[in-house]
Amino acid sequence: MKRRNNDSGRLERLLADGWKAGGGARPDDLWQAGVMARVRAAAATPEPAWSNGAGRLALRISIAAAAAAAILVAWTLAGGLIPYEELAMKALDEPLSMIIGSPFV
Amino acid sequence: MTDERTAQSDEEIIGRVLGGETDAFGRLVERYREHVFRIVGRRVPRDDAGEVAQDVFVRAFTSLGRFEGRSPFEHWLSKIAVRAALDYWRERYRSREAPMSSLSEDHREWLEKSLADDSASSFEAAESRRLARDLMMSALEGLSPADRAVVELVHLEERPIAEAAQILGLTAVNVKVRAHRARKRLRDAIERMRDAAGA
Repeated sequence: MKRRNNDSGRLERLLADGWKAGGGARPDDLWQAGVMARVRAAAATPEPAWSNGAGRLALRISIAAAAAAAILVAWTLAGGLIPYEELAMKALDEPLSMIIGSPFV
Repeated sequence: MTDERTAQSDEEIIGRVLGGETDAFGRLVERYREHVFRIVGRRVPRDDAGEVAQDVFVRAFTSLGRFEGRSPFEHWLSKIAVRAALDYWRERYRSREAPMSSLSEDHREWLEKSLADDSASSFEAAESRRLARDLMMSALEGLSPADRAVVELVHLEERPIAEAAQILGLTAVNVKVRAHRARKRLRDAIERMRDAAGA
């Protein structure tokens, strides 16, 4: 058993050494040209709005606002401020006032 | 290379690239391509290493505006390289591509000879390393991509837990737990290979 454990430890080290040596792939001029072609293509593509500073800020604010709205709705319903039935009827009868009216009527 | 570095620092080149000189990025690619190949070449199959290494530089280019210079560019690039390899395995894991073929006769023979008392192998050193690497890659295939990345960083490259956690964006405790669990799985996989080879 001890012998097997020692062998396993040695084998693990040999395999790790083989792994560390890598697969032998090397960069060459063709590879470098390929990278630069992709980099130039990326430079020519306009940056998506969400990836720049202002875009990221707007995205974060939107997510926070959506989360706050969801919490408010859950709190309103759970607290019994508006019964489900009344809410449903209001939505069916007067969808416009439902949207623009106060939620606490 | 040292002369070139003193001639123009990474920060100066980055400044030029951010100023619109896209081709200046080529200097950074030349400077660090061997480094990136070393990281990626260990982690992904040889045939895919070139493409993943290209992905690393393209990601670095598109994220260059977020490089804050708090650590050297080389460290920042290393983190991108490790994460690109992690994404490579995540993609493969999702698409459930066929695992590596079972042990070949050469792999079995290598296992037997490596464990024999007379370690004089009939394999050339380079061939021996290649077979050892194949076997380790095969053993690593049993791990989830994240566990695999942890084992590679902590056990195979012997990096500190804190550094591995920082690279992978995990907590140190999470890395520690994963490292322990994943290493056991790796050892079990190696044992199974041994048994399969009758070594």
